[in-house]
Amino acid sequence: MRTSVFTWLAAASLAVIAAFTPIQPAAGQIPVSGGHFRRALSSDPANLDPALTNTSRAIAVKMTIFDSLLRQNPKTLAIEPGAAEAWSVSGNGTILTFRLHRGIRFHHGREMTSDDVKYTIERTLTPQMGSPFIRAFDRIVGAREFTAGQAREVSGISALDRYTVQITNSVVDSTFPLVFTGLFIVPKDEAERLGRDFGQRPVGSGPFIFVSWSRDSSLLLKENPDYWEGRPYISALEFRIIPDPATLQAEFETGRLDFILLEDPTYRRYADDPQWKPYVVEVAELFTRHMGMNTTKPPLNDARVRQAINFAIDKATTVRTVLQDKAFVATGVFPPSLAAFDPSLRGYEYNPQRARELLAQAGFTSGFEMDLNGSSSPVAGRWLEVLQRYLADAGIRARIVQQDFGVMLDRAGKGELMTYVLSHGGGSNCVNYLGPFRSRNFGVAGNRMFYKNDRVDALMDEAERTFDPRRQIQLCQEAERLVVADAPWFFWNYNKAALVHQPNVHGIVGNPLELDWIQMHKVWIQPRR
Amino acid sequence: MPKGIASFIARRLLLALPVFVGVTLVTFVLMQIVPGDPVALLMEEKVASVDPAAARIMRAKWGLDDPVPVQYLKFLRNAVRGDLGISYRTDRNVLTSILERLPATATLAISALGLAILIGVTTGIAAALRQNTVFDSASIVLATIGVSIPNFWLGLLLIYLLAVQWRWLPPSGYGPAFPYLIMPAITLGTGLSAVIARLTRSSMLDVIRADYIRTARAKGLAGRRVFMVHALRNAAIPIVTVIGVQMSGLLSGAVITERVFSWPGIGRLLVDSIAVRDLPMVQGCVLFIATIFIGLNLLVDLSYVALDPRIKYE
Repeated sequence: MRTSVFTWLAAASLAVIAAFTPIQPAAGQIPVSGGHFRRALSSDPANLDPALTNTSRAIAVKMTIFDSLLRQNPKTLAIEPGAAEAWSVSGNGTILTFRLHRGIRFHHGREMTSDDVKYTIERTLTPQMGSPFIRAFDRIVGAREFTAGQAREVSGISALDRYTVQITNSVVDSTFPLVFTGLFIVPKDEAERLGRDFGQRPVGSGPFIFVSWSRDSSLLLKENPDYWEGRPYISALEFRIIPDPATLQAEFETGRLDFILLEDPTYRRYADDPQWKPYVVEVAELFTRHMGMNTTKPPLNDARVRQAINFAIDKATTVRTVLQDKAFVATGVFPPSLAAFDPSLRGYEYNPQRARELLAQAGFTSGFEMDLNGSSSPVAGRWLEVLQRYLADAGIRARIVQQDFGVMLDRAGKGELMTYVLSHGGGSNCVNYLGPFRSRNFGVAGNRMFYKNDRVDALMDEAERTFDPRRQIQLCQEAERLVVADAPWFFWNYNKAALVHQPNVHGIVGNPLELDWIQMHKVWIQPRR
Repeated sequence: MPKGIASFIARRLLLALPVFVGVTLVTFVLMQIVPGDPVALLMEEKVASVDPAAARIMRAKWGLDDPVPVQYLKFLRNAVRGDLGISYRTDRNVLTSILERLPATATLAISALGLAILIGVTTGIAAALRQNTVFDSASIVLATIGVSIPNFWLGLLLIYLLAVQWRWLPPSGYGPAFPYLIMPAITLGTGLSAVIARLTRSSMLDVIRADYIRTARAKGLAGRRVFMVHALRNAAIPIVTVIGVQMSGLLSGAVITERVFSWPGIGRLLVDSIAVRDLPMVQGCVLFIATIFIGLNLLVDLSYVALDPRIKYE
């Protein structure tokens, strides 16, 4: 705790100094080529093999080295062509056909073909690989037999010709195409040649080529002059590993980083400063911060108690104060960036009187005691203290328990915790976003509330099979309303992610999936005068 | 090498074996007791959900399906062969990962300790020779302040002044000694120099009051010779002991300093690995640290023979 206080004090001091540094507005808007772009990661990406790591920092790097088959537009989140220039769904929604761009070349010079796509998926499904992404592909026809060693290839993946690949899914799943927005294609020959080292010396087809990696220090990439979408503007891209937030800010203030992500304590410092404000990029990230409540543990097994908790906390005030306005008040599960966001959903307003009435109806006139679990970070500690205070006003005596994040998830997954504060990131599709409310996902699979509503399950099953986006959204919104009424979460806030970049940096478009998943080949630097 | 010393070294190295087994066993048991499944932690880092099918496959890959005692015995068997395993987090060879960070760790440790010895021993000797003067009092005050300042605070203060305010040095990073090593070395060395200064002063004060120093002076030896040959050498034993212990600690990683200055040392590697229950990497780091401690302690013990001829190992 002391570390953090001093860290932020120092950060505040740095901010005061920087406030007096004049900033000139950008001179021109015509993209300029060249320059060494430096950005930061809070910890080392550990491994860059597309089949192995799914951390946001690893993806931020991998998306610059590799091409995915499909992409999501960072502004609309619509699925767009990536390495596949066209794709279609047929056979009642079970067959996906992708046609690759011709002339995409891997960094070692060979052209990408449909065999590479097939190999990339089969590689992920190989048990020796130990990939955490098996679930994404295990419903392809023949995938389970392949993983079990009963087949030499996945029968549901066919390379129809050099540039066309067809994938047959065993079930109708409208979210399946989304999987291919995260499928980074690897070159078969290089992946086999390098083996385990592929994750340390990755070879892709993306806009930047891997150069070197000094673990826990920096990772250097250079431009791919032959990139099929056009040569990137910046000539070198460096990811620096900087774990300390005060140091990160000092690096930015001294011009040694081209942008930094803003956390709660530093957000206002830049967002309120007229000199920096034009260079602050904000997005409503697809994350819903909540307090999960175990619906099997009394008294939280009573929906009225869970609703009372939702009424008891003044979300707007907590967002304004403890979260420094770096969030949006939640009215339900879906954040505003999601297509399924329902502006008509009112959620729970702050009404302590109503909270007490509901508790009385549930037989808890004098309140009750419960544990309020959160991770061990100082930030989480501040959140828990605020929630505790509001709950106390309603007569609920909450005992704060802070623990290692992994331990908390583990215990919540086993059903040992009454409550836990967590941020849920469910991606851009409403079916996936509501995953934690499906009874098939009990425990560590995401439903740590052990919440079960047959109607919600049925709606989600139908939404999963529906390819009509409008109908799917209707089903999701209906399910969301049921979930909100049942209140297995305290629906707190949607994360507002923010970054600040140097005035001479252009082309940064924040991504609601994860703010710093930036299409770096579209970024350029105006040379400083 | 005298036979006595050779057998002393052999005995100490033999005794190191149960130490290695002990520390790895304790680490292994602790990592089993601590809640948190490494597979779940690795999968949950992004999506906070675990796919049971993928988790099963990952467990099989890392041998986590084996009974716990079998897992430990396999680790021991492989460790004896020099194979510390593959990290769950990075999918890389553990020994390679540790050795890769050794230059950064050693550079920082040696520079910080060198700085600490230079400042600490010089100040300590000067303070002892000028006992009860203003210099002596000032050195005590400075040493107290030096010991009391937390590393992270001093580090951030240096960044604020030298990097942000005056722009003399880069705030952080790993690169050529100048300019990257200066601030981390000062941060880490300040507290140590204070400890060494105080110890040197008290040790010197004890020695210069001893009878043999008076005798040396009475014999008419030059002050410089009395000081260098008789006083300093005898005062050195406690100082060398402390330096040895401090060096072991520094080579085990200075987590906070490494974090503040984004220095890629072993301390950060260990802490990051513990966070995701990366058992092979944690075991590897612990073994490395144990080796450093045993090796440096042995060197310190051997240095006693050189410093004090009365000490003999048989």
